Amino acid sequence: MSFYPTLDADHLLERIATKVPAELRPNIVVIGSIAAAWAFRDISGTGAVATKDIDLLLSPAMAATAAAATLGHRLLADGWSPHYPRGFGPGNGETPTDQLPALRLSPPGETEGWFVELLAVPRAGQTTRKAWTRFETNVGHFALPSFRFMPIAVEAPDESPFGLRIARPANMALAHLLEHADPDKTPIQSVQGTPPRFVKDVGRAIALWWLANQQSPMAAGTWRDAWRSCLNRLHPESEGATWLAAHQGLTCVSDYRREAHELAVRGVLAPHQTTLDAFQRAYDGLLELIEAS
Amino acid sequence: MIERLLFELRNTRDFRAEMVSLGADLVGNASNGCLILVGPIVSSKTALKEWERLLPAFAENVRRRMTLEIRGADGEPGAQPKARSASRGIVPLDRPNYRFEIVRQLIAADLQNESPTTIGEMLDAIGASQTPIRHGLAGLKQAGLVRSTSGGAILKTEDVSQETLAKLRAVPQTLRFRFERGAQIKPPATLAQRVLPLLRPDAPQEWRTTSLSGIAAALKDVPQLDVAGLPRLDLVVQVGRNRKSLDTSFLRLLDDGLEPEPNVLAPAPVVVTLVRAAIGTPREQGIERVRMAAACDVYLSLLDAGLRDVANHYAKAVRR
Repeated sequence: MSFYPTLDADHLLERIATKVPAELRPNIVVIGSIAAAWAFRDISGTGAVATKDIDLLLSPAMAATAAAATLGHRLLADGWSPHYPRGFGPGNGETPTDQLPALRLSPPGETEGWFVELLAVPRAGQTTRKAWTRFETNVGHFALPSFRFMPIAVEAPDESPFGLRIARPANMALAHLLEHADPDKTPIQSVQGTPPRFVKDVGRAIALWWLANQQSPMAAGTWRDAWRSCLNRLHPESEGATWLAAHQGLTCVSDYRREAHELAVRGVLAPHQTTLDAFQRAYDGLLELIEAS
Repeated sequence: MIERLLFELRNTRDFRAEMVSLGADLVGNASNGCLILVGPIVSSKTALKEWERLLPAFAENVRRRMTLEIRGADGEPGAQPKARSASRGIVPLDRPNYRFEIVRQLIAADLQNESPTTIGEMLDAIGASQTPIRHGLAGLKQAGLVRSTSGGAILKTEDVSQETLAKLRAVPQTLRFRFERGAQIKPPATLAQRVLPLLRPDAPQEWRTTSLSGIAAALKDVPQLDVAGLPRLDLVVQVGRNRKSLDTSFLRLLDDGLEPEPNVLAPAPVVVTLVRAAIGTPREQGIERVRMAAACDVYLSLLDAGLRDVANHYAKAVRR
């Protein structure tokens, strides 16, 4: 049983792409579970994904606020409505930036409960886990969240036929692992049992690895090449330290694999009902891949 | 028994140190020693690999008394799949069946229209000593399956059937795999597609002695074969005749949900035939350079699958 509505990735991304002004498309990378569903759409049942949020990452950092304002304006004018899951609405010029909501927009007439959420790549040198950047729309002030390892997640994205670029699972997984080398233990309030954030994110990385192996028996080579290429470009001076951090990120769920599995089968693995045994083997396989890298 | 417990092992350096310490404790006495990893953070495979790498460095009378055990975080043997995964794929191997190896060599010669095979050629190809080969050959001749000529031994491929091989105890060791409960079941045709990149020259090391056999291979050689669908995926693995066990965890790359099928009568989606000859005879096929089993192995896999007519059609086509 999944938490969220089941969405068809191909159809949904095409629909979103038509709403994004052509000049903004090069600034957007789709990330998160919808990106995973699209990447693994050739695996039976995976084209549909259980999610409620479609994450659109805006880059580069310097242009992100302008792009967010333009995109927000365009979608609001088209009848998309702001969505405030935590109950607090847009701010004004006096609202502190860290108290502004992210901009989440539901399409007009949509009853399935999904929405797009705007995020931004971090500015150079961001060391905090999360940072907010204010931007203004005609309904008020919002903020763009930036997570520090997002540049890894969106490195060398795949091109889609509808003009939006889509993050690669290997890089999204690596970003999750690095993010939790120092595990984020913040409880996720929106999920039953309020599990710590790291359990969900690292479990997602394991789930992506399981899916990659379903897609191709040569996934290990593909992921290793993607990781090396990404790290050579973004962190050439600290590749060894990065592997160590990825190892720490993965092993932080060592004692929470059952919980991570429960969350994953209600998210990206919902169409597969992957068994706990298979999930644990995926954990082992990912650990071996990191140790061999 | 001397037991050494290592909790939550995080690196191989600590592992090596504990191994050396255990080995030192076994010098000058007759005790056995066991190194027990409880809830290791490094993968079981890494620990096992390190164990196997270092073990030869110990004196024979010490290392044969040393064992490694990997337990789950709660200390129960095999409590976590993490601990099981290192050992669950290890299959004990039967002694080589030399009658089968001889039949295999003679079918190969027959399909290639070669002259009779001499004892010397068989010894070179199989890599065994004279006694088991001569003994095996005598049994096959006595049963009438193999004939002697002045130049050596010959066999007519079409005379070989699965029943004959069973009766003569000339059946190879085969490993059969099914999907474990809850796994994503893939049809054999899908598995046959997935296996192709694993059989190319750039495949992972552990796959380099494996080749494609059975119907999937037969159809690449003889596309006009009259077969309906692919009932199973056949593979051939060449294993040294002195090997005592085989780690089948390489099959996890083909599909993570495969596990040994204990019931020999149950249909299995993946069947692996073990060939123990010293000289491998796989070939590469097509522009993708997929490693294919020798025609004799393809023929024998078809027989094992109960497809004798198809096997004979195949033999006739490849002999031409």
